[in-house]
Amino acid sequence: MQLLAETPPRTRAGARRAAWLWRWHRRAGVIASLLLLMLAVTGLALNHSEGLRLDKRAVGWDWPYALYGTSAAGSWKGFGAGAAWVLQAGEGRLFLDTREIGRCEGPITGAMVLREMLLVACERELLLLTPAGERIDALDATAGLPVPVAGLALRGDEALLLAAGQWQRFDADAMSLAPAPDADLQPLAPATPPPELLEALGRASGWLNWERFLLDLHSGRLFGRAGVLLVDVGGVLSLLLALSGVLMWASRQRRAQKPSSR
Amino acid sequence: MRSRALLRGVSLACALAFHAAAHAEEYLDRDQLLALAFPGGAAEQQTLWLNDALREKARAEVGLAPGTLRVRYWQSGARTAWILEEIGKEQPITLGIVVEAGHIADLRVMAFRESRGWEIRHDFFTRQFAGVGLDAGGKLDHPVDGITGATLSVNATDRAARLALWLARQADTRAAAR
Repeated sequence: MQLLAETPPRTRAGARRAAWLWRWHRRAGVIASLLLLMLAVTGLALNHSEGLRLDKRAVGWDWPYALYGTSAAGSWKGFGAGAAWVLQAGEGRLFLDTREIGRCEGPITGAMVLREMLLVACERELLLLTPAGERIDALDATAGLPVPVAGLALRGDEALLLAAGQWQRFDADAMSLAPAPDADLQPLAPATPPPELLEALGRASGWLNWERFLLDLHSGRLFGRAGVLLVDVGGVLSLLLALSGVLMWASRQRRAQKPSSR
Repeated sequence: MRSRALLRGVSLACALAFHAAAHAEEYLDRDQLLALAFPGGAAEQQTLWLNDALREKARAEVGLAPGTLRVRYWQSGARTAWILEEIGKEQPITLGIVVEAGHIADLRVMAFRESRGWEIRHDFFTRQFAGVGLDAGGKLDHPVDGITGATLSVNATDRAARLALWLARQADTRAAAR
């Protein structure tokens, strides 16, 4: 208050400029405050994502799924293998019906029943599983699997896989491959699982976890291009707030340092 | 000039960090490992099935069990070679481990998929495992120096080494029983 009392009077133009600056500083502050609040809360939560286990917790509400335009089911690629479905969500996670059974390197390219076992092919890994989904054995590029694996096919009781552009006969006992140049087959095609399975999977897999949801909310991507623009506007407003604040402070400091004309 | 050098340094560091984060590195494939492990080239592929009882035994004796029900290995005389995967932080690290007479003859990092901790692939780290066996408590009988910033990868290598030694012991027991 002492400082204000000793501050010399502004010129008329200076007073107009200061009033304009104050007005817009307040407006920008009000508009940006809600956005800043959201950014601060989501930013704090994301900063402690590991401790809060946000990446392990699925979002339980329905409306965020609608914002992703996928419903709770998400986007799945799968193959029918006997009575079961072998499906893959993002990041390589594999599911046998609704139960998560592990990971597979690369996108899933085929699955079939082979001698009462399940053979699952992904682009960079081949898995041999029990009917319950337990891993019997695996083969990847390091262990001699030609990659990429583009698909599986069944010829009689023999499994073949299309690996590195060539059909190979698969020996489940030795986990080995032998070229099958005579094979003229079509790889098994992925299929769409029934909607009720997809719905159940959406919940079971937790593909929409809190980390992803908050990250997309923080960046505005949850609301598409408009959301990103809104966050951009919030960023520009924050910049203006900081600049106008510094300008007002500097102006007051300058006037405080001038000798009073009274 | 100084700021330009600093900028170059920062750019190089960023590029290296991005490269390390973005790529899975494969250093050795199965055939190369077997050529190193069995210079004579006479190794035969064998299979060890791990039923529930054996898996339970592994957990009791070395504190962990393989992630698969069947483990393939290669054998020539008393020497066996194992390809095992252990998770570092989130991704599996593929290790090739050669065991002879209850001790590790050689250990190699075959593939590394994490963004950090790849330093374990260097000889200065892996050669520490040569001659190491299992003690009565299922731990390695020689201390292995860690690497700052690669603790999880070092721990994964330690687990894989213990498991390989345990598996080799089971393979020896099975061979002796035949």
